[in-house]
Amino acid sequence: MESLSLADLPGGDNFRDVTSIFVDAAAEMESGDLILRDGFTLQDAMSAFEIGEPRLDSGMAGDADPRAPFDIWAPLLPEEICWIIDRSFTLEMLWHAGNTLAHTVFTCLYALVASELHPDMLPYGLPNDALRPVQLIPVVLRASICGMLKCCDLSWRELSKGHVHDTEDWQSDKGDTSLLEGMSVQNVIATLDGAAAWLVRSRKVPDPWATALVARLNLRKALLQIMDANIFKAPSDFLDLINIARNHLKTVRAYPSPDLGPESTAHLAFDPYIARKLNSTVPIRVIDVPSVTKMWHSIDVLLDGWEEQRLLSLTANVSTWELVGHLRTWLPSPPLRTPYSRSSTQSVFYDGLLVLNKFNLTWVMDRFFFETLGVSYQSVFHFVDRNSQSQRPPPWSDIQRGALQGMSFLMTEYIRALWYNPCRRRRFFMKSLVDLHIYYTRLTDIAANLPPDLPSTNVMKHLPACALVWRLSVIREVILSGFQLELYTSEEKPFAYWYAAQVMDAHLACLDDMLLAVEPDSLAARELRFQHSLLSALQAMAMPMFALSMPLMSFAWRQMYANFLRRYKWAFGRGYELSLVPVVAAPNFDNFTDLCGRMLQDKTFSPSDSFSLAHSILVQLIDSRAVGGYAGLWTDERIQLLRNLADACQRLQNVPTSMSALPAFDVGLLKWDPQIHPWFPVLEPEGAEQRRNKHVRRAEPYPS
Amino acid sequence: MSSAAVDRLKGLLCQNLRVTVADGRIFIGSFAGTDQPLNILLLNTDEFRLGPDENPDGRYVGQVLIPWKLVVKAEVQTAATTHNTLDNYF
Repeated sequence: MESLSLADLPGGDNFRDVTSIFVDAAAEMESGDLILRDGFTLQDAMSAFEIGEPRLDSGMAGDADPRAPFDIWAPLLPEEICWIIDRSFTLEMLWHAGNTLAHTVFTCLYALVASELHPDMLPYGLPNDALRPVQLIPVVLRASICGMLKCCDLSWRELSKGHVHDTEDWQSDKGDTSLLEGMSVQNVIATLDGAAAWLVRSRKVPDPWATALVARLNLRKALLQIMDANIFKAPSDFLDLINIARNHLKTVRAYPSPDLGPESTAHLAFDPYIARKLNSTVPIRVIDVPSVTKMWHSIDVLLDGWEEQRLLSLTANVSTWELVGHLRTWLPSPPLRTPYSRSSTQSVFYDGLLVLNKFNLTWVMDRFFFETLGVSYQSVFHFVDRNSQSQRPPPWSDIQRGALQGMSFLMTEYIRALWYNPCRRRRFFMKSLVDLHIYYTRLTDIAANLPPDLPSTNVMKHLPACALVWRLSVIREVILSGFQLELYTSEEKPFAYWYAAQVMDAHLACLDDMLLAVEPDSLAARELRFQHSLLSALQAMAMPMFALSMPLMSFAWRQMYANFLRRYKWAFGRGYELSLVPVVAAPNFDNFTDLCGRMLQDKTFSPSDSFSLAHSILVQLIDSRAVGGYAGLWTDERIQLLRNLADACQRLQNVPTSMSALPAFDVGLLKWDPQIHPWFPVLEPEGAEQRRNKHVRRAEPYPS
Repeated sequence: MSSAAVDRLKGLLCQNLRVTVADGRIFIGSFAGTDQPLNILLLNTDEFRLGPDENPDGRYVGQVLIPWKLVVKAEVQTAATTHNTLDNYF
């Protein structure tokens, strides 16, 4: 810096030193004095980034090692190019996993200079080294880097549609750096093809590296084509592209890149501290780059996601979509899809205009009635129109396009929410419960005006049940997802299990009524019967869990009640007052405390027998492969869900056989681990001491 | 809080400051305020690094607070422009 003249400094030489003015003024100021320009407040000052603070100062050098200068034209060996390409794939997958571009993709310095890598820019006078052909960088590496940036660009466009959330699921910050937005996909594909052709024709790169590089270029091309393809235009072509990508991935795995020694200049192509030079406010974070094997697995999972999307795009059952969305959350394998996959799956379902690229929103309403009761919306509409005894017309318009945006829209949003991240998904469900109650109210009003002598075997008698079973299943998911997200304190778990059992009880009663009316051989009836069996099993698991986890409570009722109001605030929010129809299965703390006392005295209830009952129901379902009416291609996964529940039952077989044995049961044995099962614990002696309730107090008298 | 020294400092408000910090970076931004420990607040700030591989155009960092312990030199832009303007070329 000393070698620079004043004129070379940023801003030029028209600056005058005022350091002493600051020092002199500080000597005259009192502690707490502030000098601020007019209109600028202390509040405004709070939003400043503090220089020198590692968590805020993105430009801070920190512990970055001094780097040797990076020369983009420094000749590289083919295996070094291969290594750089593999690493760039890894960085791209890290971005898909929710990291910023500045910490992942842009740490590959070639990505920042992609526009300068053109063969025409190749400098004269580079050494002619047969082992390091100069064309490798402007032809092969450039094609691969352009392909990666274009894939990132297409992903960015999908992610920014609003189906997933910026800074929550993914990071949109580009740091003022190009993702080749202005370059067409066709142009990039032509570049990739040209590079592969050069490798084959020029014979300047020996095998196995020529094959390895061609496979990587082809894999990139296939990924780019999949991202650019319209899944609805030619589903079979889409599947072909996925299979082509899988084949290239297989070849890539068969030709792995080498582990480069520290002396290789290829390492200079990556600078984990590059964010300090980009227009980004994100503080520096050096991310550990996972192994290449893990990265190829991530690409496998990405391809699986596309394959599932293709199958879903051909599925016109809303219930199947719902089922798949739930399975993705409930089953540990495959893992939660990347934000890109979750966003594009939502786009496949509803693009903001059409559902599944061909239906309007009314179709969703039609499917809703058809898949729940086995009758179409039109049949329901005409039946009500003919038989309603009300002077006023039925409130169909309220249901379809009412103040709450309409039932079809809510159903569409609900299906999309199944592909939100788990926390946001739960929040969406909680917020939707008021709307669902309002729809239940509207359908109850409609049903109340139908002839009173309508038999229970007539499906039209059960119109309100359509909205009710939907609402009850959403409540159940809100409660159970609390276990999966590890939201509950030990003290909250007994209530959660008890309340889940209450909700299932109401749900089962509703299903009993509906099964009287729905055509027994219909898909709707098969699904209702499956739900009935599954809920019976779940209820038989939830009740003993309530009993077994009771010793985790402090019995400090006032505190527990305050916690209850906070946890179940969605049940007491505004909106319910709009309806005169009582809320079904609302959480009730009084009933809970009442049952706690009676449960401890219950001489007939056996926790272990209850788990055995649940196990036998589940095994029966598995053995008969009775997976409902809409599992379709996801039958095996639904059976896996049942197997996981049956395994959970088996793991809990050794619990007390009666309530009288409960005081001798070590509650510390119960270990909740969502990796083992999302909703139910295992009996684990290790760590029981820590899990045991040490805060149990003398039971307070329950406030009257 | 009024003295000749403080008034001189107040006179720098709203002017462009060039602050050099210990790690070699230079910040140029509009002076918005300071306090007794001399934490300098700059608005619309650009950050510059000096060196062959660095970006000569700097990067925009917006509103920053520079603790005095990091400050090597603080300079104010004078009214007369003597360099890097089109006037020099005509």
